[in-house]
Amino acid sequence: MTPALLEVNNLSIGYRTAGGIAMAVDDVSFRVDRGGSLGLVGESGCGKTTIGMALMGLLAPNATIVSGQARFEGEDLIAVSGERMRQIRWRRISMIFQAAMNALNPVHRVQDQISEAIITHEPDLSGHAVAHRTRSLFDLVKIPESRLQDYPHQFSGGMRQRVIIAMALACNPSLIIADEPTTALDVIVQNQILSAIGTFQKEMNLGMIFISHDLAVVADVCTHIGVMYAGRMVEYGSRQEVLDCPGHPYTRMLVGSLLTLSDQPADLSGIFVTNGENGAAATGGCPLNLICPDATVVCRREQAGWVDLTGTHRVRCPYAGKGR
Amino acid sequence: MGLKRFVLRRLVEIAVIFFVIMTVLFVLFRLAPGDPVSRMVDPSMTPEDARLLMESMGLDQPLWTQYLYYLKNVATGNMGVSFHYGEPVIDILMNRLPNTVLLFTTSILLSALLGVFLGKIAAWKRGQRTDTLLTIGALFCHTLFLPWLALIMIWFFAYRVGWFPITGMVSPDVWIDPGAGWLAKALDVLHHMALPLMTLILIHFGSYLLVMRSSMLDTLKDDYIITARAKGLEEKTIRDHHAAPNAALPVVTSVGLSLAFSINGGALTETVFTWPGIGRELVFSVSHSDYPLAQAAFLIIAIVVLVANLVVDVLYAYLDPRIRY
Amino acid sequence: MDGRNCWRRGVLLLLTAVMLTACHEKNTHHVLNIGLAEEPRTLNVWLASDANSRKVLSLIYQPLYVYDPDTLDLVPWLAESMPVYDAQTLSYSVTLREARWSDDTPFTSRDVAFTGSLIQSFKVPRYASDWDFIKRIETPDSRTVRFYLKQPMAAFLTGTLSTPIVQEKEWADFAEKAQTTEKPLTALVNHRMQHPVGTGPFTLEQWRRGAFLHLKRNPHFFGIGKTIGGRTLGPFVDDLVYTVFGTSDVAILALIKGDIDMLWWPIQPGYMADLSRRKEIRLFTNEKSALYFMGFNLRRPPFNDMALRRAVAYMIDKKFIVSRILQGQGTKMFSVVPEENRFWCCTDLPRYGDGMSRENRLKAAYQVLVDAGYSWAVPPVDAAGNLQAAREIRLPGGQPMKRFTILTPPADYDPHRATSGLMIQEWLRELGMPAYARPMAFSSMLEQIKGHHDFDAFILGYGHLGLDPDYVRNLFHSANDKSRGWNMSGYRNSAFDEMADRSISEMDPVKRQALVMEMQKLIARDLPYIPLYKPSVVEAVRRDRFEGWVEMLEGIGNIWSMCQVKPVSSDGA
Repeated sequence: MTPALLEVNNLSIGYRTAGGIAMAVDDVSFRVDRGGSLGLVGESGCGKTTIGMALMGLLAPNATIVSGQARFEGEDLIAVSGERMRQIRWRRISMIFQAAMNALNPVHRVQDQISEAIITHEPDLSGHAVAHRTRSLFDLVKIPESRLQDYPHQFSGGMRQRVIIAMALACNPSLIIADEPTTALDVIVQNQILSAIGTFQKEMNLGMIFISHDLAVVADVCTHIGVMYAGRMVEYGSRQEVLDCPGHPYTRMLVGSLLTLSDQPADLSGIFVTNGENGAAATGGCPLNLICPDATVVCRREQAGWVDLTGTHRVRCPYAGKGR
Repeated sequence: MGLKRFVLRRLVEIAVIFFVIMTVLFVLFRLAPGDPVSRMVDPSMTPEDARLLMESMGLDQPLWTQYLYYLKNVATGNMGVSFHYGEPVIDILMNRLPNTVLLFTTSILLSALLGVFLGKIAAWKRGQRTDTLLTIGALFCHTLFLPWLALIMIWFFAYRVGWFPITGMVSPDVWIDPGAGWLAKALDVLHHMALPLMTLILIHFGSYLLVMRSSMLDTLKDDYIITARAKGLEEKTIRDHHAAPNAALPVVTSVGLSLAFSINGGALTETVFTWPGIGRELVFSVSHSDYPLAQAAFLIIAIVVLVANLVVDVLYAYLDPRIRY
Repeated sequence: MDGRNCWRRGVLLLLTAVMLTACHEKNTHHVLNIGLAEEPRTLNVWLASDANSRKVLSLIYQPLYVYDPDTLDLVPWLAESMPVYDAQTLSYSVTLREARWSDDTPFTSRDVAFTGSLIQSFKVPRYASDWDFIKRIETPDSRTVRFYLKQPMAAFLTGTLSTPIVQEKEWADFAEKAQTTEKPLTALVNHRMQHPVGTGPFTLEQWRRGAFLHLKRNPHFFGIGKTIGGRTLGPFVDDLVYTVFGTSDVAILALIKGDIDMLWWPIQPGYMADLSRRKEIRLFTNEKSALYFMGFNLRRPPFNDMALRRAVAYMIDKKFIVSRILQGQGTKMFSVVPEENRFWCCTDLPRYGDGMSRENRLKAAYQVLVDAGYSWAVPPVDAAGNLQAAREIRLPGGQPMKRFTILTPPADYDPHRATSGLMIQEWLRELGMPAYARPMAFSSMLEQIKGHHDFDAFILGYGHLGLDPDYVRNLFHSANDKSRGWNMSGYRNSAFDEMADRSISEMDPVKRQALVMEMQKLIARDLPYIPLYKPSVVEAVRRDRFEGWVEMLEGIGNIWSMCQVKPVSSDGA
């Protein structure tokens, strides 16, 4: 097996609050290969964005990494110095931000915002070369060159997202973290953006972490899927494995709802609502125990360990794969 | 274009407002008690003298005649002759205006620069000692009483230490020396300007600092700051290139308007530092019922403020590309 | 941009500026630096009604006669000798001195005649009244001027002959042109003078508006080296530089620091303690020809009653006002003519309450009021003759006195008058009077008093009274009891009017003096005004720079000083 592009082991992240540290990410492990893409799915607040930010070294000042490693191209992103991290950012790991965000600075021209990233990381490049690359990036995302001089507010939401993709590709990174890149876009634009992302990822052989609350979107673009709930990863496997035989009750719910949209009438009996416990990982017992239709006494008492269904498919539920 | 139409519409508005201001000024001064002659209470002056003086100033005419005359004057750009100085009002104001503009424009720009610079740092170091010191310092300076501070500055820097001249705008001994070149004269003015400038900056930078700081704190929460960080930019670049320009926008508005109002000078500053500007003349003309001078001074201020408002709006559109008219 | 570099450059620039200014060579001329409180108004002598313009122009334009600093008698100045009166033709002949204008042309009798006709034809305010009784001016030769009067007029000596003379050459063309305009007087006073030509000790070198005004020694001054009035004239300084100071605080700092040698305006008492401790500063205290007074509205109750005004006079403790409010920098006044004007001032006047204790004042005032028929709910003095808190004074008719106000200028304009008003209010309340002192903006106050005659009592002052006592007539003649007229009280006394009319045309000084004394007695009896005090003029100069200041009524800022001060160092060398 080739060495992973990124290998995250037992990552735990907490937020310091008045009442101590609240865990936002608890013991999460996964790997991303070159050319591979991992979809992190879970409802908002489950910790998936925190993971993305942790990998970029952009955690909020009150967040702290409790434990774990993130080996990326031979370096532990958790342990490197701030200055080293700054060099890694964008040059080797870049990010596609949520479409709903004002990720672009309103007072600068888009061209300047893109070339700024290039100049920062490749200071030796001539001005001409930078301009050339910026133009070809615009070509790539299919925006007319004439719009390079425009300001962000002059673009539509979809266009703006393309600019952001172009910006993410500016320094030829090896890993891209896409955090809800299509949320808040309408369905048609969403599809265009998704296919564009998918194309580049494959063509440029990039590793990608795709963060979304929408399993359908993840299912479209990712080779692997990790399902998160309340700060924990509850299921991890290849796209096929997770979608075809979801092991965890929560995954089953997600997959179920995914299918109902297209194929069959909804089986609402399986849908459950979470009760606001989200956000911080629970300390004792399975976080789902109160709402899981299959919960037992054991679930209330202790955390479930990993159950390997196949060599690549793991589920955190004692009853996974037990044929229920 | 939209901007053109916006400017045209605003110009019409300005004309209307200007006419209203003009009329209100006329009425206000005539309503105010006293006249330029009644102040001359020297008993050697006979009532006949007083009548002649009133007549020579045109104050014997009925009000509406005076008003029409005044309208005609304004329309022809001839603002009349000062009762006090006996010279065309325009000459007097144009003599004083450059002095005021020099001092106050410089002080506002420098205060704003200093305020923006320090406000940026305070916000960047939010909650740390630098921030606390800067914020408290700014608030303290802002609440200082200007004439008091001015006197302290004069007493210390001009009198005790002797670095700067006590007041005024020039040293006569430099200017009456036929051998003194323009450079010596320019330096002499700068030398005189230093103290009032320092005083004004000390008083005013605080408000810019506070505006900048809070604006900067808001800006730092914006998404594009995360983008900038994610791009691996240096912290300084993020602060100066991404956060500060956005945060400085509110400061620009307030600087623009301050600049406009700066042409009325600061009567207090100009008095304490004996700076021969518009502010002193304004107070003087009002207290001496020098109607032509007071009217003209206020009209000029009105025009500048009105136009400056327009300029700030247009400028804002350039600085913040999101705004278009 | 590199911020630090920018800072460094700024600091460097400032330092250079400091050094250049500091190293600037002092020229070997003797420059007398004078501090002024306000910018001179104009160099046009016909517009210059303000004190600051006159401080400049009085050194340029000269009159025929000036006052002697010690005796206040007329001293020939541009004239060579005293005027010769011819009662037959009602004319005065004046022989002129040999003198030249600052442009080196001769000063002649034509210039004097021209000045007179200019004042007459333009009716120049402040001067016209001194010239409108001149029928004709003759110039038999270039050194003789003969004035023919329409009627005898006392103001001729004190007014007409003190008029500054202007050069015909400088003004003739312009005056002719101005006469053809719609408003000749306006054109005349608004004429912009750039370089006034005079006969005085100094000429204008340059005036940088708002910065300084520079006078140079006039080499053609007629007085150089001469002895006039027993004084040898210079001037002994080469340049006079006037600088304006916005506040007295900084002016005093400048004086102590040595930036200026003289402050040509009176110092507030508050600065005196500090200044008198300094070796290098010399203070001059001089009397002022001034009148600060309390005036009454004689047109309406309650002050239409002379007895009430007299009672008020008893209650006002002028000594208290001078010693406490003026901090000793002033003098009590009992006549409307200042005492220093020795020839005209009447000293034989009733001094209501002067030297009395509070108790005696109160009793005297009480007695005056009781005699006039006033009564009280509770009188200030009880049956046993003891003082008590008075309540509710009633007019002789029995009705209670309505509340009245004493208008004063506001404290920021003149703290002395405002405070005096409050004190007088308290003193009058001791008599049970509903007195209310009310500070009011100066122009509103004048409007109410002079314009509308709508007031009860007020405190005002004349800071600069001329030496000629014709103002006594102006202030109290019934002809001046009209809106904006000088007779603010509405005093009407035909005996006074008759004496006043006679006094202005009485050419015999002794007879005129007798009339003016009588007039003062009438005023002191009837009390339309109660004279209160006049402040002293305290001026400060540097001891180490110039000496030879000439003290006079109104202080050391006078033509005599400017012709006589000498640099200290040159004297010692």
